[in-house]
Amino acid sequence: MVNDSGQLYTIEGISAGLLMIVTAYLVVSSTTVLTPQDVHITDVQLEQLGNDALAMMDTRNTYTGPRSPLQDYVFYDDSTNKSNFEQQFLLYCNSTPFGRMDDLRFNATIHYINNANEQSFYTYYEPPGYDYYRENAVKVSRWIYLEGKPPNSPVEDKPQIVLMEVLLWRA
Amino acid sequence: MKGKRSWLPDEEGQLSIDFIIGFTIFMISFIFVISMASGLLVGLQSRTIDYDAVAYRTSVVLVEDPGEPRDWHLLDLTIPADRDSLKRLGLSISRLSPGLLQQQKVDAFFNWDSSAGCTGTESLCYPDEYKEKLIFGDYPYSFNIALRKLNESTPLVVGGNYPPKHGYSRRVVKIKQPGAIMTMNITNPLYGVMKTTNISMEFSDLYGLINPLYRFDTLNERTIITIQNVTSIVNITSIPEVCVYPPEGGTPTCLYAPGSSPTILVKPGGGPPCTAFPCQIVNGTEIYIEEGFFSRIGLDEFSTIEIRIATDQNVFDAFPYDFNYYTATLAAPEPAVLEVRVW
Repeated sequence: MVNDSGQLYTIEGISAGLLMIVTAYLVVSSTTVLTPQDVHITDVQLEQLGNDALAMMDTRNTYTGPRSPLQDYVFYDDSTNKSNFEQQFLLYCNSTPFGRMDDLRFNATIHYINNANEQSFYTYYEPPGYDYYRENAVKVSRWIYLEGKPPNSPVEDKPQIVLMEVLLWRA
Repeated sequence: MKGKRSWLPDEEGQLSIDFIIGFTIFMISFIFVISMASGLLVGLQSRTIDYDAVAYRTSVVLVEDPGEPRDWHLLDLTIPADRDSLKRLGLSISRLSPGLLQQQKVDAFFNWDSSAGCTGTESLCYPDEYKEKLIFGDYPYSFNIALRKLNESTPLVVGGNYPPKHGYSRRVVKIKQPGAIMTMNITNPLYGVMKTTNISMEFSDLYGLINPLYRFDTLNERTIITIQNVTSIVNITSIPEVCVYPPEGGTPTCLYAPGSSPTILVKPGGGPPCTAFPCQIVNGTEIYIEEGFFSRIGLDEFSTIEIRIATDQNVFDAFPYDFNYYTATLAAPEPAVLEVRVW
């Protein structure tokens, strides 16, 4: 015999199902909105720090000084200057006011125009035994004026501006 | 029901179709309202992101902005009108010099007082003035700002202890060291020819240097003239006199340095200043022109002045001594790291 008892249960079931689906959608959508932006902000902080470090290294100590420390490091391009570059860049990037040192790593590449008038590059510095292999690194750059050829580099011997690119990541 | 068997099916446990429809409409409306409300709460859900943004903005104001007014570090904060004129706390030496801070602004910024009577002191009121003139925003943010020169171990700090979850920004800066220093070698009285000499300053030359990091900013920074090669007993006989030349040239107007700060001090050996004259000088004696003195007497970037120094011995063999980029030097800017935390 047909009656209406089953219909009521069906409507309740549909309502409850709808309620659960919408609730689940709200919960999921409200909890996942933050994740990508957090990563983005961390990248911005790292990028700002790297840009600051390069800018301060490229600031001369005196008005009459011939070059900034950064220009000196690239222009002379020997092991001593590369070591000084590494130490100063890491000091600037890793120092904090309360003494705790951060743990950032980096490598540096110089881009220039070669004799064939083509863009070329060489690795200026990379951390010994610790190559970059992760994805969340940032790249910062700075134009550097050189009066001539750095002795150990493939750069042509003429006044020119080269681009230093630093890849920076948190170890 | 009396006489009816309880296990037989009936319709008592079922809801009416009107109730179901009404309840469903209510639930849909409720879900709709809740979904709208979650949109209103996005700002609160993203508090960490907001904190990071505020921390970054605060660091930008500190590091890339000179503040308003741009020479706010010269304000006398004990005067209410001066304190009111301070609108924004930036530390940069100029709007076009991001990352290059001015030492006096750094010192003034970290000179804070949390007592109720702070408005009558030279200190900034913590935390109200920092929130109003640096952090901004209606939300009552808390903050911790710390700066340490890399060659020092102790940081300068303003702000309370911070929780684990906070917005963060770190900047690398250089701090311009104030105080161009000129060394003036005097001579033995046997060979000198004058008891009095002048130190000449052409402000248009000093301010002609475009890069503010290396500029002798005599209007806003202290200036020091160090007297060396003192080989006998020599006394400065009076307070140094400042002679200001009119723009069109001609006879200068001279005045003695005032007794109150900012003024010109004579500091034998770089120690405490002379309080009475004549005052004996030794090697390293400083003619110390306090920051803001030249502004106090109405000078600008085009002024020409001479500072007159009188002694009781013939120890000078030049007239005048020129103060310029060849005779004076400025200490190298010092690297530092700045951290801003907001929560």
